[in-house]
Amino acid sequence: MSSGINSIKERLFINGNLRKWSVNLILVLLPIILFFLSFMVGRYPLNPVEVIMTIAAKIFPFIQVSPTATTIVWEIRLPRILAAILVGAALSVAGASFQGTFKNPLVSPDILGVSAGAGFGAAIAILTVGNPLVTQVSAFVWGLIAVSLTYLVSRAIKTSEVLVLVLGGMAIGALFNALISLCKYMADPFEKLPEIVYWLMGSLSTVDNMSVFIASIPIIIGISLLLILRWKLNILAMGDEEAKSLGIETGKLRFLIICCCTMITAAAVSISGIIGWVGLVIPHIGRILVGPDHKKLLPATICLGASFLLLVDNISRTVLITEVPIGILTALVGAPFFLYLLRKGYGGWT
Amino acid sequence: MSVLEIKNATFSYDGKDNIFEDINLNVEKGDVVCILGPNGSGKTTLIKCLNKITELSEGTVCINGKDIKDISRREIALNIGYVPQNHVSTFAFTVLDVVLMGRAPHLDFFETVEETDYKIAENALRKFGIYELKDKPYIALSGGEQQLVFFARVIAQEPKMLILDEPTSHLDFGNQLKTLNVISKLAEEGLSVIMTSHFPDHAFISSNKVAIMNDQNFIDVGPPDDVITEENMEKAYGIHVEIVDIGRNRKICVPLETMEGD
Amino acid sequence: MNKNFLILIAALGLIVASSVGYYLTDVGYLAGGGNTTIVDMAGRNITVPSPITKVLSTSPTETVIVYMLAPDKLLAFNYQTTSEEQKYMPDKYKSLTSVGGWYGSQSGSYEQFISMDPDVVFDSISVSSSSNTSDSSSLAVLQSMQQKFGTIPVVGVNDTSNVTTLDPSIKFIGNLLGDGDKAQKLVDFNDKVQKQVTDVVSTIPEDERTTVYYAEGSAGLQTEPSGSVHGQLLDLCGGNNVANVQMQGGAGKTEVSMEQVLNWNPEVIIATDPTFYANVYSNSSWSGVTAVKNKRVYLSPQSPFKWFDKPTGANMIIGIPWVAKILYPDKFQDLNLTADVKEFYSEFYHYDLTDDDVKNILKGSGMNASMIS
Repeated sequence: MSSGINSIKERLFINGNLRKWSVNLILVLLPIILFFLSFMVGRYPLNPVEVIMTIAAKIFPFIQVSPTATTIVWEIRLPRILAAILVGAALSVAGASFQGTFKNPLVSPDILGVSAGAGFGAAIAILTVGNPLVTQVSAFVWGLIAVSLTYLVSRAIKTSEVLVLVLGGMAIGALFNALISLCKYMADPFEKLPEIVYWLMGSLSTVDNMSVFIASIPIIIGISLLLILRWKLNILAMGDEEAKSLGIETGKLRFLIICCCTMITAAAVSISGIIGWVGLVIPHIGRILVGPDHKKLLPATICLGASFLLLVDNISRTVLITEVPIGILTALVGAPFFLYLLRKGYGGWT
Repeated sequence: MSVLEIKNATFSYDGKDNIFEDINLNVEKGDVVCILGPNGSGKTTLIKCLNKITELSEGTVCINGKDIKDISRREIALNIGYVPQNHVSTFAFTVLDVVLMGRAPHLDFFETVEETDYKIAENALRKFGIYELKDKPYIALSGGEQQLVFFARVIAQEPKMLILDEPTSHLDFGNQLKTLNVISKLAEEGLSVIMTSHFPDHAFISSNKVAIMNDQNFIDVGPPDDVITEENMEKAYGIHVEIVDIGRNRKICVPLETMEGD
Repeated sequence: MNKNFLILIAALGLIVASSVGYYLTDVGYLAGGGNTTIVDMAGRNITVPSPITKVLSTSPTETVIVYMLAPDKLLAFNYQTTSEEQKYMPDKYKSLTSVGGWYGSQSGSYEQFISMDPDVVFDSISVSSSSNTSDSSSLAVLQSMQQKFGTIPVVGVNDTSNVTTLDPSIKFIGNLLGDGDKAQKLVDFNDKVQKQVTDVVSTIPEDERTTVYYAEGSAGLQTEPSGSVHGQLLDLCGGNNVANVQMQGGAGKTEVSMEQVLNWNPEVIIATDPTFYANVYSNSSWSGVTAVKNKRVYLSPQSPFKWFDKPTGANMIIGIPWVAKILYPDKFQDLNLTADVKEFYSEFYHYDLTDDDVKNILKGSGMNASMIS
């Protein structure tokens, strides 16, 4: 164990409960505060009072607000903020759950091919139809199909379940990535191709309330199921043999966890495109703050993931004139931070 | 009715060569069974078949009369606790987290741990004298302390029987004896124990039944005095030994020299 | 089971809250402050302000038309214009910023657009080839865009990438902005040059058509097949596009090999990338091509918009006589290209070119003195 972890653990030990409580408080307050602050920022100059009036106007219909403010708050900022929270939370929870299930802190939610499948679904929909709702549904469905294929492959091959799942995921992911490239090749390079490429880079700029609402249902269901099962994840993370000896039906549990994680990741990707690094880095930060016990870790990742993506998106839509795909920004922030973690020794968990 | 009954157990990885065949063994309440045998004789495979971590090719294992093929993993775990030989750790769970995992068989699929489970886990820690370590990451402990954590976990499981895979392999000289004493005490409290070991001496210390595994079967089963003989040691390990009674109700098995022609 | 039960209740509550919230935040259609009702080209009844003084559009093809008809009303471009492109732009338009758009890459920011306070936003809609009405996906996108823009009317304009079908869109935009006269002039100009060209080329038999290759990219090894909207001027002006490569579902920018080009051996090469043009005569691999041997390689002028593709829109109107003269210099000897260019730039690009300016532009495009009449 590196001295870095030791010094943090020592400080935790010394301040013990005080430290734990302040961390928990921050984790709960951060997303809530950010949520309200997010309504106040954006390229259109709306002062905080106007924003509050606009929100109040929904409750007290006699308050008059300009229709522009109404549009900005309810049609433009609200869906983006909700999307950032949903997607950030979904990817982080899925990442943490997969890391436990596959006993490997370096896996991301894409490991079984869900993002590649969703990307293909979106690409083929953009190529053939071009209707945003169809694109969203297609991405979701193909994300599920990709993981189902991976799962079927692992059932057909009778060796070590975890290893075959991971390898199968790599193969299916590569297959769908090839299909995405094929779509790109066939696409009109002046309109369809940039549209596909832009979608693949991940963006929250085109979400609307309907797509957020549709995506929220599988995400909420999936996250709550994972929360219910989160203690069992600890056991799965100790290894299949020990889990079996403790009475856990590892096949069944793993299947359920994969279903939930896939459902929430596919739903998240269907509205936001492919956003990387969130599912990989946020669980690590969570472990540093609250430890690897999934009972505390999963709720922590929800708070951290939602806050992180909300923060990044707020900055992106306020500072820049045109929309830069958020996947680029999370990579720019996530990758160096991840390297920093590794360097400080936080990557070595054994 | 025996706590555990193994009948005609046969196992093979590929369907052609049997690792072991036609093994029979009964374990009664309070027994401490030691399975000796050379590397590769299939000891670990055998005991992993007892709680369905691996499945037998032929034969049955019955817990309190019920065939393990017919009961759920959870029910098996309520009866049998398992301490593995090797553990590869990935995440830095605290000692308490690890011991708490032993409560799993007592919970339904969607249930999670509650206050009572925490209490049972803490008691298990106290029983092994490691309560002060409860918030430390278990991967930071010494080999002996880690072993005790796994013991505590298995006690929190509240099973009727323990399966221990070479419980003394990674321990220092002193901890080996301490662990064997723990095992004897657990047996006195009513737990049955099956363990595998490389050390005939340990069988003398703690067991009341010994089985020697070699050539795909038990070459002998019975009380340690009867089974651990110079002849059996030669057959199993291919070396000459001398069994010495040093009084104080203790015998030891001293390796002398390898067989001629080796 | 207690805590888990709570989680389930919370989840259910969230879903209910989500549905209720979705229902509540539906703002419906917000009437803008306009006082005129129009029907846009997608058939929608919308209210727009009158007069319209500030305009934005979601893609360059409409932006070009607004720039040509009513540049003072244009608030911003969709991409950053280069200094080369700004050469023949009046100073006051050089500083027009880029706000991105929704034409492939979805780089437009709704708040940015709204903060510039346009009276209307033009959005391009494609027409379904079978039914001759707006296709459903375009309509869906249009509607969701209107949701985002709230009280600012989003006006659907038929896709303007084909010079032969963009007259209605030009007239529509012109009439809406109160510049109907200018629009009519542009339409007349378009019709005039097209008639001039098609009258002549329709008499040229198939086997006498000049073979031509459209070189795209800095290496010149990408091209558009016949029928593609990007190489449409080649077809319009009676050229024989050598690239009979398979066109996959509206795709373009097909990769070809040097061997294929040598095999086709075109008589004329038209390019849009200055790097390619700068190197082609010194590049040994191209030296075997007839067009290179006869010095018949041409580069589209760049400012303020290219004459041949990128964007594909009204800017290509002036490209029609240019391509015609390139392909058939003898047949179009009477075509007064200089006069056309001067008129076009003066009327629609708001820039008075001197005779020297025109000479420079045409010479820079590869034309020799005899063509510049």
